Amino acid sequence: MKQITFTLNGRKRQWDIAPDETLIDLLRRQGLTGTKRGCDTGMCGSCAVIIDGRAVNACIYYAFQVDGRTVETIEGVGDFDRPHPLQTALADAGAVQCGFCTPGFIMTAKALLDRKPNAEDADFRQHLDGNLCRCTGYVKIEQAIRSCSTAAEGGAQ
Amino acid sequence: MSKREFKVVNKPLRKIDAMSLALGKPAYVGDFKPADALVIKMLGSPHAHARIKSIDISAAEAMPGVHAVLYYGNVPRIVHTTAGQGYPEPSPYDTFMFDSKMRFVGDRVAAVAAESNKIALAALKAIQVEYEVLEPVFRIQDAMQDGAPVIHDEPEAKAVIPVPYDAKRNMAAKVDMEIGDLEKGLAAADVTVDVPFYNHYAQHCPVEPHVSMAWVDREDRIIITTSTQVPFHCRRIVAQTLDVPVQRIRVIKPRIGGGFGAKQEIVLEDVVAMMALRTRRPVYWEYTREEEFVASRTRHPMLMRIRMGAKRDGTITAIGLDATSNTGWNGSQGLTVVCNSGSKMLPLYRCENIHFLGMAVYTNLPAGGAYRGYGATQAAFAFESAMDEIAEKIGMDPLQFRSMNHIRKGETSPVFRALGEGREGVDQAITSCELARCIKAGAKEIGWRKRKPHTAKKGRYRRGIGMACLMQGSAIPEIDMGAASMKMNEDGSFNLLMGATDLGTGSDTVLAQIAAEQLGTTLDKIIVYSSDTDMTPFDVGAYASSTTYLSGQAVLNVAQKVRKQILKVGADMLDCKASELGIEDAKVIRKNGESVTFSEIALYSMYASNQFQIGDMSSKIVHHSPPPFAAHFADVEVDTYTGRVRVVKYVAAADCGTPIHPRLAEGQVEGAVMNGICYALTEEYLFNDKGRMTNGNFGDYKLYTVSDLPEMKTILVPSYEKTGPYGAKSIAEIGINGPLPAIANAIYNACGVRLRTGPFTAEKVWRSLQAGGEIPFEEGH
Amino acid sequence: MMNYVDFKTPASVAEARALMKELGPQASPVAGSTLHVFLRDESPKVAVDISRLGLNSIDTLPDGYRIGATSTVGDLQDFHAPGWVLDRVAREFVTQPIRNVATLGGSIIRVFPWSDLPIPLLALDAVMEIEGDETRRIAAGDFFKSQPFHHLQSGDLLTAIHVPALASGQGFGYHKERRTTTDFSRCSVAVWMALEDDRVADVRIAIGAAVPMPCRMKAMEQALKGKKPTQSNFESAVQAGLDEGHWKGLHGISNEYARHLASVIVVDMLHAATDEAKGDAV
Repeated sequence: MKQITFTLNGRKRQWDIAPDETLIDLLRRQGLTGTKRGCDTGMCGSCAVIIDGRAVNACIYYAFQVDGRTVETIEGVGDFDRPHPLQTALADAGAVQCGFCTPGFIMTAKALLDRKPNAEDADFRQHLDGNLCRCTGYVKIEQAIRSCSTAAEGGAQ
Repeated sequence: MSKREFKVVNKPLRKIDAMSLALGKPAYVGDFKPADALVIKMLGSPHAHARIKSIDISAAEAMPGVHAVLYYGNVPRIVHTTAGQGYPEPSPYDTFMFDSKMRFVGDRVAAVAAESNKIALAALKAIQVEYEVLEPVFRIQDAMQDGAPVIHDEPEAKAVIPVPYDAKRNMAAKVDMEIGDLEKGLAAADVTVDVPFYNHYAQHCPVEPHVSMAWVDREDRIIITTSTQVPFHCRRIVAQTLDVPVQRIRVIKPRIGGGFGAKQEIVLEDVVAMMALRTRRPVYWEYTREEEFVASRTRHPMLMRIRMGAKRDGTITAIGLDATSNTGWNGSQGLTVVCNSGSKMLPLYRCENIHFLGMAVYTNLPAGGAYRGYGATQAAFAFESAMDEIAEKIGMDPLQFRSMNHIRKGETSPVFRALGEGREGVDQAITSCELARCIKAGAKEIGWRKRKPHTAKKGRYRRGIGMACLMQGSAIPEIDMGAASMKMNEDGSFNLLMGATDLGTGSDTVLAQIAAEQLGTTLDKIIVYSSDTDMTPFDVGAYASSTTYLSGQAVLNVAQKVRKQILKVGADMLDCKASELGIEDAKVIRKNGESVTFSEIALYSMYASNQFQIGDMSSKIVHHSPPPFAAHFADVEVDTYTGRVRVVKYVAAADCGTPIHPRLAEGQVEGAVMNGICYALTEEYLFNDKGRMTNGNFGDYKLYTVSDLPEMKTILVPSYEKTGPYGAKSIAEIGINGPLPAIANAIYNACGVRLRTGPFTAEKVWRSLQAGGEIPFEEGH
Repeated sequence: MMNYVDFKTPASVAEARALMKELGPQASPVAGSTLHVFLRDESPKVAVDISRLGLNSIDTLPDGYRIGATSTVGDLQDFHAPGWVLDRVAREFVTQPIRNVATLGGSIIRVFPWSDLPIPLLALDAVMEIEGDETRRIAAGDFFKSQPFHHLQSGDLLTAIHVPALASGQGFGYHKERRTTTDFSRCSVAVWMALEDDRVADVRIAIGAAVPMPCRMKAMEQALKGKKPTQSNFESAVQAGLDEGHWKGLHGISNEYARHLASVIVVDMLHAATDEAKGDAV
């Protein structure tokens, strides 16, 4: 085990890690289970987290790679008393069916909107292309996430 | 049309668990894994067909951190089915927890429980196995030949209900039904078709793979937390397989990350339970994505032959459907899936001469199971493609041909009685059907009027429009049972306890809406707890498009009973007759305006006088299985140079009775349609010549993402199904059946190419174009 | 993923090179790690994190761009400048979370049949910069002749990739044939073309996925030089040069179809490059 230091959801963390441990294993081991494991090959996006402002699949990222970096997981995005607009929009649109892919979608969408609050349709299509959902057919997910862009009619501020 | 105004039902309210899931709160099996849980890993067979000559687990057992190794030599040998179905199961008993015979690449050889993944994987490598490799068989046609390798040669293999079963000939199921006289009907026709189709392998791909954990509690009971659609069947089958009493097992289903039928199966639970008993530690087993593809369940591939005859005026004189499924290494759901290929599509059009022959055949490939659509998907491809072919032969617009022949409200079909699930069916008349309006609305949305024949099209890129009509069912009549109980709390809230299993569809929300509507309160006052065999009443589980229709009626009934109790207490408090009272906004109101709130009523009944717990239980079986109907339309573009097919727009118009939650109902259609589109165009299993799947990952096995999304339009055309709760019938499965035929028909309309084997890859379309319209038919995989 | 027994986080190229030399074959340089899913090496290794060496900038040179080897595919996607074409390639690379970490260097140092980025680099005649005991430059044609990591000695680092900017009268076409937007390629084609007086003055055609290793189609190129950019000239050049390819279908497609796909897509991309060359290069 070896120690790394990084910022997780706004708090400085010093955690011991194994050199071959993936970031998803580290997070889930530490009780942050909102990051989901769907394929372990970086192809479903259920484990998306934000590292230094960019969406990353935690299942194909080694824990040591976050040393010195800033990591944001779904646990840091919102809570019942102050949900993120993306969370409210997805919940209200009927875009959460089984919900297993939802945190991953939120992380990739948030990474985009944090950089480009007025993201347009083409941006969403490109930036959400790493998230699989088998329940919804994406229609309501796309509608909900688009509504959070300042470019959307009546969209977020 | 809706017959009444609703307050909670038919409203797009927030799904009750949506926010907690969006916040990433612990919800799924894996989120509750205890820190000290042992991890299970399974050694899979490298051979498709083999016998274990010798196996040595001693080195693995001796490894530090390894707590148990299970294999056929140290577990009970109890024949059973893995199909999560009612008892006695219509699926054959042909499976053991472990066996010395290997029947597919990935079959269970031995399982290890260890302190970590790493140790478990190292232990698997330390297991020494010597195999006698047997000749495998992969194709339906080969497996049916005389002298073909016998996959289930063990003496225990048997059917447990009186149905044809012949393991020595690899025949897992057979059903034969004739109404009228097919040959006579064909002879009476002006035109006929006799064409083959093949439906390929596919997997459900729930984003959460199968996952289960178990431990033994202080009372020596086995507590299983598992990602299942059938908690009660799971409890029964695990008890059977371990030879322990049902009462010793508790099955808990938390949130599950999608199922689509894959989790209507006992895939992991027997081993986690056995490991918990052996190790006395919490144990945890999660499939890898590759294992999910190979060792869970798949859609049954099916070989179809369809014969149809029609008169020039459009009368259908004969329909003959021969459907033979590849049920893989076990016969799970083999009989019932193939039965549904007949029973869920054949009643769709009026015809006096119908013959259906269904069979399920063992091979050394992954096992079929329940998969959304359940046989109807396979039949719809053949049937609705053939409908277009015959319409062309009589020179009739395929939309008009369907419109003049489809079943309508008040009509019946002899198929309903003749063909059930592994036994005779149940006679029923259609009590709601808005298919005609679905066709009309969908045709308008897709622009059917502008549709031209393929012969009028030129150029590299050609557009085409195709359609398909569909029906399914709502629960299995006279077999399925669901139950719910309810109690009232002192703040006027209610606990609703149900066996019904929300696999991500939102059924907890839909059922709570039904309860709230009946009680006269709001959705937020219903606290739902579902699918825990210790805590909730029985329900068959989430399959056969049953939950809204069947479990919904159980919930409606219990809510009616509780409503009566509330009114009785209200009458006591207001000193009047219950018949003078009504309920509105969680208040019991007397005609003179006096009222008491639900909270006051609950407090009164708990603490004041004649105290009792307001609450009750109800169970329900259904006598009908009212079909939902749908008309699907696809607009595609074919690149005739490369053969590549792009769906430009897809329209699904569906009649599900009253949509209890319109947004979730749309979501069911959209999800099913998207799954169907991927099945039609991209999803396929690739096997090498040894029967090993070579593309069991999401890099190679392709699902669409947002960036592939065509324009999708869902139109709900409401009817009122009088036998259902608040007019509802099912919606979950039907949508997946349309894309295969609608896209096939659209490709034909674009470029004159008829595809009979999915998926419709660019190469197949290109080869068909090269061949002038059709390539020689071949059983795929 | 790899069997790492330790990891090192060097802060400079010199430090990284020294570490790798010291560790020898045990060293495993890691930048994005996205390819580790495909690696089946269970021997114990020490990870050397090379993502923090300052090798991730894209610098503008007089005739093109110098791309730091640990620039991510997402960096290529987001970069926009005159004559820059790699954004078109980058946005078709797997998925956004992977584009965000996969590096250009990592995507070309080990080539798979379906690799995307070697193909445009071959068409652009890119030059790779390797820092060893002395700095070396290797042209794409040589670099991709065999597995590129064979060019590296112990302690060597691929540090930068030089690509030319598209000039006026030049055009670029890129197509990746796939089933879905996130699919592996079935056939990728990149075409770079220079037009003079409505004739093909120079052209480079690179192809991948339909062949075992990405390669240039020199016979086709030769047949096109000096010709007018017309459909019939394109078609006859492509037909004349098709036999040069060792066509191999990936993911269940036949060799014959792989060859056919290439013939269609090369013509399409010749047109795309022509259209751009005729307009003003951006």
